[in-house]
Amino acid sequence: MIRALFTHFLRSFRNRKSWMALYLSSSVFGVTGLFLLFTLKAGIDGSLQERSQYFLTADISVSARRLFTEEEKSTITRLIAPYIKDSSQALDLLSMIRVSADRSRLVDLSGVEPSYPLHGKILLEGGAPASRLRGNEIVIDSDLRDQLALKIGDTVRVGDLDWKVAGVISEDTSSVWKGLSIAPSAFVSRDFLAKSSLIKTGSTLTERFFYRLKRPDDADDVARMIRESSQDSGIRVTTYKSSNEQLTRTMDYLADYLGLLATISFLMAFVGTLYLVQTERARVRFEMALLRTLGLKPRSVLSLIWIESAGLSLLMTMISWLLVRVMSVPIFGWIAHQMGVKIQAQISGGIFLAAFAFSFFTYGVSMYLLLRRELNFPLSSLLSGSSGRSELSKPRWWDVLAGALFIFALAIGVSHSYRLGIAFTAALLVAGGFFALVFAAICRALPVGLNERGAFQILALHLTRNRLSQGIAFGTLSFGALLLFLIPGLSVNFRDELRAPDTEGMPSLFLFDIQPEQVEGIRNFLKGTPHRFESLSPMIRARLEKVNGKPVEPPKGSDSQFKSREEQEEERTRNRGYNLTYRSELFGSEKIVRGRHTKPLYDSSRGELPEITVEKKFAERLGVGLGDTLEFDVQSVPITGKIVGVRSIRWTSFQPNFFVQFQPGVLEEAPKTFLATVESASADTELATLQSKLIDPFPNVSVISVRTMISKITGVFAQMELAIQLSAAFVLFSGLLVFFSIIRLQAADRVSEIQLLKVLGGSIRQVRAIVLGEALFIGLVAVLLGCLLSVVFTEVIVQVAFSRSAIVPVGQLAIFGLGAFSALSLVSGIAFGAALSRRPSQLLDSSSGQV
Amino acid sequence: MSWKNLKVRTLQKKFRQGNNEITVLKNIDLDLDAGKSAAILGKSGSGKTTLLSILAGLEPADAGSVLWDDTEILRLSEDKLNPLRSRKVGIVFQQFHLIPYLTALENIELPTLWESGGERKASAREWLERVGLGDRADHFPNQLSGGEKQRVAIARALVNRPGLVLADEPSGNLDEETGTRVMDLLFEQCVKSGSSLVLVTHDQDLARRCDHVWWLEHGQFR
Ligand SMILES: Nc1ncnc2c1ncn2[C@@H]1O[C@H](COP(=O)(O)OP(=O)(O)OP(=O)(O)O)[C@@H](O)[C@H]1O
Ligand SMILES: [Mg+2]
Repeated sequence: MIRALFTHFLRSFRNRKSWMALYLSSSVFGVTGLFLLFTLKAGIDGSLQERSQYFLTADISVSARRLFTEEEKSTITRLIAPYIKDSSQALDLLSMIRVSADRSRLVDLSGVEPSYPLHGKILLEGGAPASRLRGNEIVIDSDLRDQLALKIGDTVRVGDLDWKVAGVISEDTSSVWKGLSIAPSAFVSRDFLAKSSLIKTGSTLTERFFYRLKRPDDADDVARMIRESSQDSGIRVTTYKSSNEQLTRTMDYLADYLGLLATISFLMAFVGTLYLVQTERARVRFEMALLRTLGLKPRSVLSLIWIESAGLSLLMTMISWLLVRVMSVPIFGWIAHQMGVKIQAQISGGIFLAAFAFSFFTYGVSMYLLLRRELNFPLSSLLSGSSGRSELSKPRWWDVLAGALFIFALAIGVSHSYRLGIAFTAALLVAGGFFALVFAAICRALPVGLNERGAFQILALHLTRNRLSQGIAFGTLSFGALLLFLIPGLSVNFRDELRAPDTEGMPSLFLFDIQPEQVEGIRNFLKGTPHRFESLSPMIRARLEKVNGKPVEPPKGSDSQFKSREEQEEERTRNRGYNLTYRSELFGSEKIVRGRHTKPLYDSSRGELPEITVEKKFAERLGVGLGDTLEFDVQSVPITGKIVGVRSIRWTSFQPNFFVQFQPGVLEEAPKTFLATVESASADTELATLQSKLIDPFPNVSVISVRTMISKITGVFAQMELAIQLSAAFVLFSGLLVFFSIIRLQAADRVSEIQLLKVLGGSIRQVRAIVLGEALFIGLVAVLLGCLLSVVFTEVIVQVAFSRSAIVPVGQLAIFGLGAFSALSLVSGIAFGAALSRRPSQLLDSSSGQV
Repeated sequence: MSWKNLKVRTLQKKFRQGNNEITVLKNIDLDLDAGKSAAILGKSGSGKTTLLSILAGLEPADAGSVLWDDTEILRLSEDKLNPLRSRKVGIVFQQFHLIPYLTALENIELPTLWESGGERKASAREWLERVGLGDRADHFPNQLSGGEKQRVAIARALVNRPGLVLADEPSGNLDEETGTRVMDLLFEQCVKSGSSLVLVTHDQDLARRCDHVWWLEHGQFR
């Protein structure tokens, strides 16, 4: 039986070559998109796991943003002695490195031992290990050498010490984010650094201990032991498994973005498949009924559909596999270049299966949704000769539900986020509903009935009486147009957000690690200059202990493979220490969205809790609102505050902003440092001089040039944008293929009708007006609607992401619109032109079916 | 209506398929005056449908001429031919060829739509009554039986009061009784409106009702 069915499939495939070709070409890119995404994700995961030990330079590290006490050190050493093979320790600090009055730069300075790194390697030009350092030798990143024009043997100043440049780093397996970190790295000898005057309390100092384990798999257990034994929650224990969280998260976001695009292109393919399948309903109905009269059970007929689906999916997956093989080389190469991560493009059997399953279900689900009822088609109608085409039956609500669930599952599976999944499905339903409403309104508005001049009425009748199939075509075109128009809108708004610095009074320099006693000094220092000292903000380290009196649980060690973005975010929120501040007035970059700002001064005599305000997203993540209380541990002193306001923050303002602000009068006595900005209209060179002059009297103050950073971020964004545009182009391409298939099928579907209209007296011009007019009318409305809706969606996305109104790039939208409409017209013109120029003699050919 | 006659001279038609060339029509001459009827008979594959297509201006010929009222149609462009055909010629297809999204009434209206003015046309509704389907005006083709469909097709072919009606086995898809009734209708209506009729059929009884009978054999009339 199976063999007979299979033979039947092969035959039907051979006899429907052009339909199959249309189906494959319109769907293959959707599947390829998913395929590529899966492969990319697997590649990233695989190579990260392999490299995460290199990244941490060890199996496990214990660190704190202060020096460890002797007691702590001996406790930890005693605890883990049985497990370790090797150990190393380091001191890290951010500090300014200076060559001359106008050449200085923030560096990430690490004091390391010769055994560093325990995993991976850090090599100098010439191949020597970077960690064999004697006395005041320093080895520097090649970026630093280029920026400060240094050469081996030069002397540089860090803090109030002179160092001799002994080498330039050429290979560093621990640096994954080269190009994105704010400071290039430099290494010195740990012993020398520890004894130097650079180690002062208050500077951003981190002490780290690295261990290599006898069995790396024990890392999580050992980490738990250390955590449980330590009193101070400020001690961080990191295993190689958790070390690359930042990297993984960023890559995940990239993958999410790609995933959504892949989902979109896949959806286009899905809608296209729906359309293609529904054009097949007459054939399937007839064939199924015929097979049943020839003795096949209805269930076997159903299995024929699945066999067909499986065969097609296999073919499609293989084509996609080939495409991915070809495309992954440049794409992965590009990512490796941008991110400094090597990714192996391995296509595993699992991925192949997943891609197969996706296409299998798309075809199967489309067939099922559209042809289910055709299967129970009464056999008698075969004889009564009414096997001709009929309008589709109306979708029932559960068909819509099944489709929505399918898309929902797909979106969550790909984006790993319930929120994104819901938002995506909701957006699609809203868009779909909107398109359906407009289409219904158009159908209602069109005149019904034939009165005088024919062309327009026939057009109207064809449209309104083939509502479902024309509606599917219209919906697909509208979705395509919507996606097309989202792209210029979003990219303009993202770019604008990152260009904001010039217009919004962005600071020029960002100062941190200012000691309280240095504040006045810096203020005086800047007084006589054209530079302004602004946004002075105290910063107090704290740890969130309780929410509404309930202790914050440590993150659950959920080991499940699938973690949604929301779960990951929640873990991070609960895990993290926070910096607190207080200020009497809000900065320009923040705005109260609920409640109010804190009252000017806390009065402890009234027996009330101090007031706090929190950032909007922070409040959402923690699930708190007005009236809730948060308890923080500030250097072992518990301090509780009550939320009186929720703020929104424009993070891109580069002003010192905090998740949590206390009422003044509470934290003044706590140990703290200050952040501040310098605003200046001066040229870059002048700023560089200022930067160097500042460090002389205040060596521990770290200075970041916001301008330099912005240009760096903008550069990264430009590359990201390239990626965004490239993938968008990919989606557009697959969308156009679907457009093309739809229009070709529409044309093919109407060939006989076109001939008939000509025979009944319609001139070519009139018949062309009918069929092409309808296609162009649908196309034009779809383009306009897609454009309109894309503006709305852009507005919503920009509101959520940047809390402001979107910019509408009218010119670009107009160009895109014209382009899309011309492409549609061209394709329609070609497809219908071919049908129009056919000879009508086939009408007399008795083998041709009924119109 | 100002139809005078149909005239065909030395008509030739070949089909090429690869290197194979089949001559379907070798040398056809015929004349049919206004109001007369003719039946084309012949074995299957003898070229009846091909001849009818050429008479209807649906298919080009290789040589010879086809004249509708002394107008040579073989060399007319499609844009000239289509309106001319809808005014002068009605066609009834074996496969009915009704447009599925138009009602019975609208299908009949179709040929009257393209040009305004001109001769007075009998209204589509009147024709619907004449073929006995007055109560089926709003039915779509898939709601009609085969015989009913063919009756709609006949009304459509006659609605513009054509001088010439061409029909290719109009009863071929119908049972005998229905077929007879449809053919009666076709003859009756052609006589009523004074149209000439060319009929392709296998049915000798039917052929006997016509003024002329043409036997097609080896590309020629016997
Ligand atoms: N488009 C074509 N290309 C090639 N050969 C054709 C074509 N159309 C018809 N023929 C051939 O021309 C010959 C005449 O065909 P035609 O359809 O006119 O026959 P017929 O007399 O109508 O037959 P029937 O009674 O079976 O309908 C046949 O041999 C047929 O195979
Ligand atoms: Mg024939």
